[in-house]
Amino acid sequence: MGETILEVSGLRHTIAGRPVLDGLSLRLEAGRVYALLGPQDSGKTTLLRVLGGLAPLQEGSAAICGEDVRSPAARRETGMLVDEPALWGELSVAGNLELQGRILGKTDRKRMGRLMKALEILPRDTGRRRVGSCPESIKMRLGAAMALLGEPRLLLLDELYSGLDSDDAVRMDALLAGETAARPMAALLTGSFLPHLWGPATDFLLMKGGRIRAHYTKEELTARLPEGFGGTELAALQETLEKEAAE
Amino acid sequence: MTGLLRGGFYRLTHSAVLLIALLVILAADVFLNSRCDVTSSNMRELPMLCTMSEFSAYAESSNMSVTTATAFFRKRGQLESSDAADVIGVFQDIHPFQFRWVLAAKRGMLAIPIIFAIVFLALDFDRRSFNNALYTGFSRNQVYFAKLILLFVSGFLVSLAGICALTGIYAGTVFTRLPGGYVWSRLLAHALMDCALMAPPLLAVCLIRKTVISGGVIVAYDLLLRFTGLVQTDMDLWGQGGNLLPVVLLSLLCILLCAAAGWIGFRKARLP
Repeated sequence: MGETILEVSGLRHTIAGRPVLDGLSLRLEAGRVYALLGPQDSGKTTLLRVLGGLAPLQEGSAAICGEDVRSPAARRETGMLVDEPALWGELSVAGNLELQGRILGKTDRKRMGRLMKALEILPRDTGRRRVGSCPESIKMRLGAAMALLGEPRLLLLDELYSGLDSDDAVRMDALLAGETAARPMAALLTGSFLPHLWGPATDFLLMKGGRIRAHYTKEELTARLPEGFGGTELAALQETLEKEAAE
Repeated sequence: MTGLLRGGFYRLTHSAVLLIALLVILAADVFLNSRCDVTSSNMRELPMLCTMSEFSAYAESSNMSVTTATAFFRKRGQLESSDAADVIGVFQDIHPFQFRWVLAAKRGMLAIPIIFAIVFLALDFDRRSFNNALYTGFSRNQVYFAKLILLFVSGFLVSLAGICALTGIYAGTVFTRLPGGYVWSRLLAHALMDCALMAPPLLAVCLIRKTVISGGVIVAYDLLLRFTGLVQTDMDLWGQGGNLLPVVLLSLLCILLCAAAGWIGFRKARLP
């Protein structure tokens, strides 16, 4: 069993009287990349917002590396990209990374260079232009690089893969694999489509109605797939898994 | 909070749009001031007294003593009612328009609050870039006060630089002939007043939290100040013996009140 990075127990959260998280419990280990799959309104983004300190923890407990998620210590261990990346549009790509580094107190230019190279958002490609005028794919990659800049122990990425094309997704996969291998880190990626998250994930969590309904490892799921499977088979498997979880 | 301040100053100095806008404001100030009509009849009657050096040169060439020169210029300037006690006093009575004209007009300077408030606060609400600081463990209070410090320190420095440049260009000769303490205390008071003028836009942005709407409100505020002449108290700053204390206290009070109200608004804001 690997080192525990995130421990969530009995998490409940209501928005306007409607329960969004309903006694959710979860444990993430270092070295793993978790895909959190579920339909719209299943509570995925709310879970990330609570873990990232953007929404209040109303009931239950959640700890990152043993620290309460509400503490600054827990925040410093978290890298996060929820919804769209929050960027400073008037600055360049490199300027955004530099500024985030200054806020974090970690202006390691070698790391910035490595992240930009890994995600191909180098100044020579972006022409040093303002981020505000860059295509969405560059903004998404930059948002991911900013989330990783502080070498977090817990990485939370919301719907990132739905905004990346196939080449970008491959780059992101390689970066996540490298980051989780380089240090004790767990990543939690949300999405609603299994084929998008199949590449980077090592574990799959099915969420519905504000709870985790099932947890599968990649090996378990691979065993249920035919030889030479593709996107169609993965989509069919997701449908089967959701039916099983509903039962 | 050091990280937030370092980040903020980096953003300030690396934002090409902001720097260009500030340069344009300064250039517009210089241009508009150069075309400004001076309406002082004293100035037209005594064109040779345009500057302090000409004033002194005239007195010296005429072999006048200080007392004689004072009385002479008081009479020539139709300022018999002036209670100025020395040459500088009379000169100030005749020529403070050089400062007043340059600084009281404040043509571009009032645009500074708009740029600062929008670029540093309103856009952060829209782009959710506050979240980048919140993710990393800073509290809302820290984010707000870092913005506040950044806004006012930067505003003060930019305003002071602009005032120094304008007075240097248009009232440079007088600038060098007057006592340093007198000139600098008034320049600093002007910069402080600019910060006080920036405080209501800051408050508006914290309460409205929408770039377009708060931008509109701030532009309206700017126009209101510009065309109604509500902020003309700084004219008195240049009077010989004018008391700076009320202006300084009023400015500080305005800054503190707006900052406190903005803080309440920011704490209650639901960040996206």
